[in-house]
Amino acid sequence: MLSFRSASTRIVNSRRAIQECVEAAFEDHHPHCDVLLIHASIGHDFGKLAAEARKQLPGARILGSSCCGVVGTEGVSESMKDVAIMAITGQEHLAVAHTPDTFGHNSFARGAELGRQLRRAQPGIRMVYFLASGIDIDNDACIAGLESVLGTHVTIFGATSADNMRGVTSYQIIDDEVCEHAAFAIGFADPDLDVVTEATHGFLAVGEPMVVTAATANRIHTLNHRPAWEVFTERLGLPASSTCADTIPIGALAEALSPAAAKEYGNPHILRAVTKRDEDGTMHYPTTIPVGTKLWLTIRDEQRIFSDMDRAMGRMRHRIGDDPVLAVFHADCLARGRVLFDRVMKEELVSCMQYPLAADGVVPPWLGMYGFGEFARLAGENRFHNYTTALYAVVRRSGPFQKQG
Amino acid sequence: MVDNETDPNRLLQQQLVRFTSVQQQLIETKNRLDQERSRLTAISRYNARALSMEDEGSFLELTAESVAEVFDLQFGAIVLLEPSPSVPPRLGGWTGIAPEELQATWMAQLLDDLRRRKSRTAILQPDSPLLSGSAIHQLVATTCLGPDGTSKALLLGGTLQSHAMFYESIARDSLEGVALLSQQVGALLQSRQDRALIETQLKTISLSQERLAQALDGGEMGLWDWDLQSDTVHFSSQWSAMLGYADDDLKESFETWVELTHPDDRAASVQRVKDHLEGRTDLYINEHRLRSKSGDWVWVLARGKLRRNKDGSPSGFIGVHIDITERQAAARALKDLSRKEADARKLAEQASRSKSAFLAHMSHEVRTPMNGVMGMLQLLEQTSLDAEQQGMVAAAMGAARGMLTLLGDILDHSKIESGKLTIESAPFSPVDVAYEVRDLLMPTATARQVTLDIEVGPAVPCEVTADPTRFRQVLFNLVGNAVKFTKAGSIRIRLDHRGGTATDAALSTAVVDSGIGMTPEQLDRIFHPFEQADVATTRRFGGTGLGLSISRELAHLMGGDLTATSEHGRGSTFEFSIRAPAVAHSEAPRRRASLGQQKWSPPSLAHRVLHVLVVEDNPLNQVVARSLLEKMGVTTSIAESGARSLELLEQGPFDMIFMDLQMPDMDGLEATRRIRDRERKSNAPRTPIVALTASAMAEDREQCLAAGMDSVLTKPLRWADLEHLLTQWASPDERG
Repeated sequence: MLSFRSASTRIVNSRRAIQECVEAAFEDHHPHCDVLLIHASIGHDFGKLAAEARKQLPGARILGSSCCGVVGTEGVSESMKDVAIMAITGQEHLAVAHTPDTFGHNSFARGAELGRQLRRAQPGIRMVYFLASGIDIDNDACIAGLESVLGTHVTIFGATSADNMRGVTSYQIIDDEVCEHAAFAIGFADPDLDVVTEATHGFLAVGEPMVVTAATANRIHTLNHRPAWEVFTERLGLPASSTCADTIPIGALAEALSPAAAKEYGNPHILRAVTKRDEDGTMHYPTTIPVGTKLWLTIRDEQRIFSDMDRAMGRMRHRIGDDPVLAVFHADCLARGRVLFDRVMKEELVSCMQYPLAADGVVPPWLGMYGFGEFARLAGENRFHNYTTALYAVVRRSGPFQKQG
Repeated sequence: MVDNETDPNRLLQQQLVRFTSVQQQLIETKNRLDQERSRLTAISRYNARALSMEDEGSFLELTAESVAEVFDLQFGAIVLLEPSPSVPPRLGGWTGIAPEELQATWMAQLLDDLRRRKSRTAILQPDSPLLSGSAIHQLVATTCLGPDGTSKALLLGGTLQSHAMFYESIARDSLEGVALLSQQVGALLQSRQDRALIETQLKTISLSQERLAQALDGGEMGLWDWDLQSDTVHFSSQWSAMLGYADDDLKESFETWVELTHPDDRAASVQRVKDHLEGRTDLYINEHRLRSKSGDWVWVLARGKLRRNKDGSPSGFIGVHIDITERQAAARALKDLSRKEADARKLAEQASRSKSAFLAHMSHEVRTPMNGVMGMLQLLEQTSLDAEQQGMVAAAMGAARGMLTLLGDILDHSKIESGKLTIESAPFSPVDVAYEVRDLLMPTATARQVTLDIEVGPAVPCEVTADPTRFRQVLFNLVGNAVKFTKAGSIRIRLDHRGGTATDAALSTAVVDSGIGMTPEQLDRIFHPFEQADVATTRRFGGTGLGLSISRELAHLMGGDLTATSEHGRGSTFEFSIRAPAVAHSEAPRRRASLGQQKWSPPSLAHRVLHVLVVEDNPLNQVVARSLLEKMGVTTSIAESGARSLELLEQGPFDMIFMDLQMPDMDGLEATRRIRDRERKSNAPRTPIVALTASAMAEDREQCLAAGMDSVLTKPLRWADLEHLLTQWASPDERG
């Protein structure tokens, strides 16, 4: 039977941060787990984090990612030295897979490779926590690769690693190794386990769309027949010399959803972030983008942000029913969750998330991070999201249950 | 066609984007403010944690981490500064950076720069020359000042080039927070120093208290401390326990002490306290009794001293009590013992005095008749006797001399035993003494066909300072023994001297004979009193068995020793040493003619007829004295008492007076005193007075000299002694 323990801290000493997290997660119990998942802000020494985790939990698989802040049971922390962990025990229902050098151009193949590794390890995989680099990645292709092996019925949830919105690099911990473009997946094969996912953003698309006029896979070369970056920054009122760090907070791009997906999502658009740009003005898009796709600029709507959050949590609570929530994984877009809200709003939003999932006021083990992107099901499909809050509630089903979507 | 710039939709879109940008700026501003608030919270949190940290290493590590945490920097460090510029800065704690990156060279320059600019804070940008060649991209540094304004530490924070892209530039507006943290750190460092100082002092106090407690405990002392302000007296547990009380049994007051003090000691004890409090004594010392819980009396020795305030006024009176009950009991027992010892000593002294008196009396009583016997024998020797008669007289003389020797030995032994034998110190020629002894014993030796030679070592001085009488006595005893135990053969007296100071110069004398010798067992016994080599020896050779024992004691008293080696049947060697420094520049002859070798010529024949007064009450002794003297050509008048001697002296002068001591009406001492008195008053010439005494005790001799006599002759009178005295005192030189 799977069990989960979580903890977080903002101790700047990387080794002591892991020590404290392990101590807090296991309290008086002998520290032992099969998979330790670490999220840490980019200011930490990831080598030391991995080494200390190995020391503290010698038999566990150590997996981790850089991020731009963490969310734990205690709330949000957004320093350069945050660490949060989720310790997962129950190796009979777990499988871990990882691949190196996962980029936009080989995302499908790497996704498929991960799927194969998981299937070999555990035939009955029902859901997958997936994490890849948030920079130069084709997330839709990753999903497709995984689904090509495991099937579309498998729920893929997770996030992409990030730096602190610089778009320079991000890290992944794979056991004792620290990588920049690795991807990993944790497969859950417990037949009684379910994961309920929700993603919500609360943005409004405004104005005339920009049309993709030249693109290759996840690269947008031109918009409206002009260099994509030039058009994009022009629309934002920024000079072309601006960086992604300048554009991300105000430059969420909206893609139109299908009517069915829009209905479930509560918003006609899904959002995308541009995480990198080339010198020729080509923009790195987080998913494959066909020519002719229309992209809108967006504006935030605080009322909608909260109402959409409440609606998403209501739907999640409904899907969970009376079954116990064992743990919650949480991926929040750094450009939205971290940058666009002030502290009061963040606390309110986190409260809106945690309160409905708490049992008798106790928040379940919670591992959240601010990354570049989120994976959650939408209208029965595994989808990649940007600028959302995505929650993944792991639930132990007491009886027959209908799979989400 | 609508122009892009006038297209209302486009304009609206631009306005919305601008609005979004402005809105975002507002949020960022709020976030920055929130970040500042978080910093203050973090500083406060740091302060709370740092205050509870005892370990310096942990404190410094926390401080370094706080620099990085509070300002969201990659690394933080704290460098400790010493007041003396000669002591280099010491890296105390660091995080996020390898310590070797924090080089002393640029740090020293940085400190100089801060001092020069009189600034506490600096931000070193990437182009700063100080960071040239360093892995550090950007650095903020601030000094932590103590309350007295001295620099206690340098806080450092920054980013490394490898990760610079992830970090915001250190903004000037963050310096306020940096300064605040540095103030906290400075205050904490000072607080830690103060705490360390206090802890050291507390430790010292604690150690002192522990030592005091141990000393009091080890010394079984009870402490009392009278607070004069509150008029309460603290009695320590040991104090109470000394009297059998528990801590809470006694009221902490002066009255408690007064009540417990023995009624007989109370007034004096209170007075002593008063004397000390009023400055009449420097130290309060008192021995008194205190009543214990069981009702017994405990003797205590109290010592205490007044404690004063800075202004000199008395603040308290502190001291200790030592239980001296056992000591007091021991003292009482000792006193009893001393008294008993004194009584015993008195009895012993009394017994000793009785013994001495008995010996003196016995000596006197024996010598008096012996004087008659020996005198008559000597007179008889002067008559015409046939060979058989001469042999009989000689045997009688030998027996008489043996008896006198026995008397002398017993007296000496008694004196040595009682420690009353005194050793004199006078210059004399040891060689002369040796020859005198040889001459005296030569006739016997010759008769036994024994040669008697003297060897004088080259270092032997003409004169040494020692007791000539006792030296002679020992040597005579040794040579006499040698003669006695050597049937035929040789006896050699060997003298040698080892020069040195008054304490280590030694005269050694060996008497080597070729006599009967001794077995080792016999040798072991010969120095024990009343023991000779064996019983057969005593029977065969006679003697008291005291001679060697006395000789050895005399040698010891003279700072030397007497030892013997012997081979049975081959002879013995007795080696005798005494402390005897040489007399410097002595003109004494190396060998003085022995008196024994001089042929005596009666003074009357050589010069004139001497007229001598003999004062003697014993008729036999009167006859002996008169006869001996007249044989020597001296005319003699006899006075039977002291009073009669004075009458005769009024009738005319005498050349010399022989004065007995013990006489019925006026003893010899009184008569002498009167004669001397009369001489002084009439300015008459001094008549030599020689005591004739049967007493051989030294104190008698001293009494004689003190009374005004010139010499002492011990009875029985010997021919040779009389001759010597007449020669000495009757010559005009001596008299003049």
